[in-house]
Amino acid sequence: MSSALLIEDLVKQFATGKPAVDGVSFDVPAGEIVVLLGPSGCGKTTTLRCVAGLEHPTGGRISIGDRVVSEPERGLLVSPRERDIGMVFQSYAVWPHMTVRQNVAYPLKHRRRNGVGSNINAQVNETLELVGLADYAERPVTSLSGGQMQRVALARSLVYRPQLLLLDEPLSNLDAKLRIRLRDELRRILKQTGMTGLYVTHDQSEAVVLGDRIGVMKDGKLLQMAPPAEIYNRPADSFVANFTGASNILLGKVLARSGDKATIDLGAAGRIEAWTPQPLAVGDKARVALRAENVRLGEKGPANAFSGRVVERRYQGMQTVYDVELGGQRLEALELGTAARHNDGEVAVTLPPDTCWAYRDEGVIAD
Amino acid sequence: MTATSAEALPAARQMTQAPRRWGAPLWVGALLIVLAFLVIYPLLMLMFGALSDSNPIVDGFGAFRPSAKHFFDVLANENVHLAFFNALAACGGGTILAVVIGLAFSWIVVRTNTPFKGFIAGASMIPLFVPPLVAGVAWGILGSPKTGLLNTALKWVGIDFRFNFYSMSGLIIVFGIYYAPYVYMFTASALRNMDPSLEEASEVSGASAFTTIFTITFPLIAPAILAGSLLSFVVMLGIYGVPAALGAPANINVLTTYIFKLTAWSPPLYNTAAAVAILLMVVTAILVWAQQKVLSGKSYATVAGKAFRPRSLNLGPWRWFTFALALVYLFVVVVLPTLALVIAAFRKFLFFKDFNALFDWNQYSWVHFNSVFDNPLTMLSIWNTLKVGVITAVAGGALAFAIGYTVNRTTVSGRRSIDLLATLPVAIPGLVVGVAYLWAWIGLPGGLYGTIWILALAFVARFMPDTVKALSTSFLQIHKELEEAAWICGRGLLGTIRTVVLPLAKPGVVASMTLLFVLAIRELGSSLFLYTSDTTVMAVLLLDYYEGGNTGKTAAFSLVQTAILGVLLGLTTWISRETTQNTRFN
Repeated sequence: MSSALLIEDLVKQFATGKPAVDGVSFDVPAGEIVVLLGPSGCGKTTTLRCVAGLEHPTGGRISIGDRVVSEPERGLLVSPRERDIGMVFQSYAVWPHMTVRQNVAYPLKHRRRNGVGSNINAQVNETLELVGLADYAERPVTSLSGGQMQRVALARSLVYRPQLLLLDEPLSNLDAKLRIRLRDELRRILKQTGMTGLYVTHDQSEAVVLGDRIGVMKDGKLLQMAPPAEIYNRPADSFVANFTGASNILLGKVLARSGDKATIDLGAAGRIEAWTPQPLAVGDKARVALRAENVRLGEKGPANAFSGRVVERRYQGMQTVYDVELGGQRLEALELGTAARHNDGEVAVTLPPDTCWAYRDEGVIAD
Repeated sequence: MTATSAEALPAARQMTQAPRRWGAPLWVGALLIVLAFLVIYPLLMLMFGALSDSNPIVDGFGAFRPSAKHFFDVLANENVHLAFFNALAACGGGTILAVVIGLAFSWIVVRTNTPFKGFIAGASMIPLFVPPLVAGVAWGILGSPKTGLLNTALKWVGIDFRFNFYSMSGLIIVFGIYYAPYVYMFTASALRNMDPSLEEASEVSGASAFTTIFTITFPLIAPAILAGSLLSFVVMLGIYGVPAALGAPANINVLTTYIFKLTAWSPPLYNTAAAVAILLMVVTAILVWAQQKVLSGKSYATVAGKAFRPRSLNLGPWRWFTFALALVYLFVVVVLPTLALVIAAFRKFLFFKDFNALFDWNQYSWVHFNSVFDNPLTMLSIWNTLKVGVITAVAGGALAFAIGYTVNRTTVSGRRSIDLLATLPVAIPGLVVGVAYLWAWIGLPGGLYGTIWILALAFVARFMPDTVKALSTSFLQIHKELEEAAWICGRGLLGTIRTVVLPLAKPGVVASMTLLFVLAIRELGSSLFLYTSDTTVMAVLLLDYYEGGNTGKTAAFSLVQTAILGVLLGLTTWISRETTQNTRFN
């Protein structure tokens, strides 16, 4: 199966400062949804806008289908309207002077190559049905709620069945409850239409639900591109680990290493077994990252069993968060359930080796 | 501690409430009386004049003969119809031209990468500061059918075409190019506030740039275009200077010039003038109402309500074309008229036998300036103008502060009526204010008529809406809690105003007074009916020179007036800016 989108070594340099996008490469096979995830200013939206043609790259190559649409070295640049793409904007960008139907019909009326062309109304109706707005066709869009406007925007970008759908933080203007509902529905619609998608967000839960693969970006660079489970369980570096929620850091020194297993000396706490994706050498300073959810309190496992002390307990109803001291270092542990089972004082702590990830300690605190 | 303060609170409230129980109604009453005196009384007198058969000059002020018939006779008069339709044609044509120019400019400045955009944006505002009569005079010098400088130039070049600005089309062109900034102000800010992804969505959907402009961009800013064109239409409708300079020679009367003509009759037809003035006022009021309606309607421009990265179109080499367009406009609207005034003012005779005669320096002299300043009225008018300007600024500023505070900062009953009365003059053209004040004061013995105070009062009333609006904006920026904090600290209402509100609002107050001063010193429309030979002002004297027919003297005094306006404008802007800078509290 050929790639619906291929990005090779993309660079976007604005007039001043560091490049916003710095050598990003990845591909999106047809029918797959790739999510670019990262903090604001990481270059994810710029990458997306380069694919749309709304931003002009300064280096690299972008191909949609089998056609190169941007290659600055050869002076090649295809305008947005010739790229056969659909785009959903963060601000919805539905046209307030038109009705729902007029908004959705607009691309069908103004596209140069309009294969079907013959029956605009039928296509509009079918798409409105798909996004659940069939009853709203004749309403002015300004009378709709935020969630409905975003559905109009989605319908407008799907109605002409583009080769590639671009979504730029489409849910971030909605309130929390609606965001979750629309997120799940968005996945259903995209999968139902078999659309190829590139989706940009800073919200990890959106990324996990929607993405077949997730690319984590930082400072214009793509750090890791992998399926969600791999991003969550095998983060390639300490930034990815931290950004996806592994907020506990234990500092130590590498004692031994074989394959992707490493043994780290944590000082007073003892030694810990950890998985590592990096070529750590014996004697290197290392930081071990792990998620609060993966800390087991009151358990003595076969490996990585320690003795700690509960310093503070924060009961949150559905879950309880403990601050645990472990040989002079601090650890946060999270336990699900409505009952808090541990009191302040000594406690057995097990950190399953598979959930401990060791990275080289570069002396900077990842944020 | 808590117990004592809880007990002390109701007592303290009663103590401050007691004097304010009478204070508030008295204060509101006083403001209403002042406003009624400034706005309602003159308007009532105007209506009275329009509906009466007697003429105060001929029959004496005491002899009123109420007659509705007189009013309807005036409305049925053919000359009134002609003036009415001429006004609609001139202002309608001018507005269309202004929309084309204003829209093009806002698009160039906001949406393209045309070089020197900041300069273009700033310079295209210059026409707003040119007094209409000066613009009219300059274009008369340029485009009069026989001796116009443009026509002289065409003759040398050998082109057979001749301009005639003493015509309806001349009126339309001058209106259009000078009032385009009103449209520009509205459309530029609408374009700036528009979410660029609305246009991007269209582009991604497959529409061309051209289609996008006409199906997305312009429809979205349509309310701004409409509001801007209604405003420029209203302003043109109330202008006297341009049609006086360009229409009069061709015997084209619009409503404003016709009203003045009626009062210049012998004997003056004051009651007929009042009737036509009411016609003008009604038309203006309807348009102002429509404009407010458009503005208060739902604005498409800011749907998402966040800051946008401005989207600027890369025009490639075409950006020099748009730059050239802007330069041509600035040349036509600023350079050409100024040049015409300078040549006319310094040349002994405005006659050129060939192109080289333009550079015959023997033909240039200060003779016109000398004769202007030999006229004792010249210095008198400058002095009067400054006096009226200062009185208007101080009195109007203080009144606007009182009104602005009462309307925006208190909850006293009656503040809505105050707001309404203070906004009412927005729908009254300056010329109508003049006629109304004439009617209100002419018959009163020992009254204000014939003093510069009547001019100042008329200006205060005329510019009240602008001043109150400017001040209200600065009131809204002062958080209510700052005031409440002062009350908690034990300050009374007046003490709070003096120690908290006034210092914080100072930049706004100075800016409004500055605005009033500038508006007052260039006002012609309302002065026309209220001046006497002792109280003549610059704008009126310039009209006298123009009607006297001496182009050299007119041009010379135009330059003098423009220079004085420029210096005062610079000075007041500087004062205003200094105050703002010295009043920064963060």
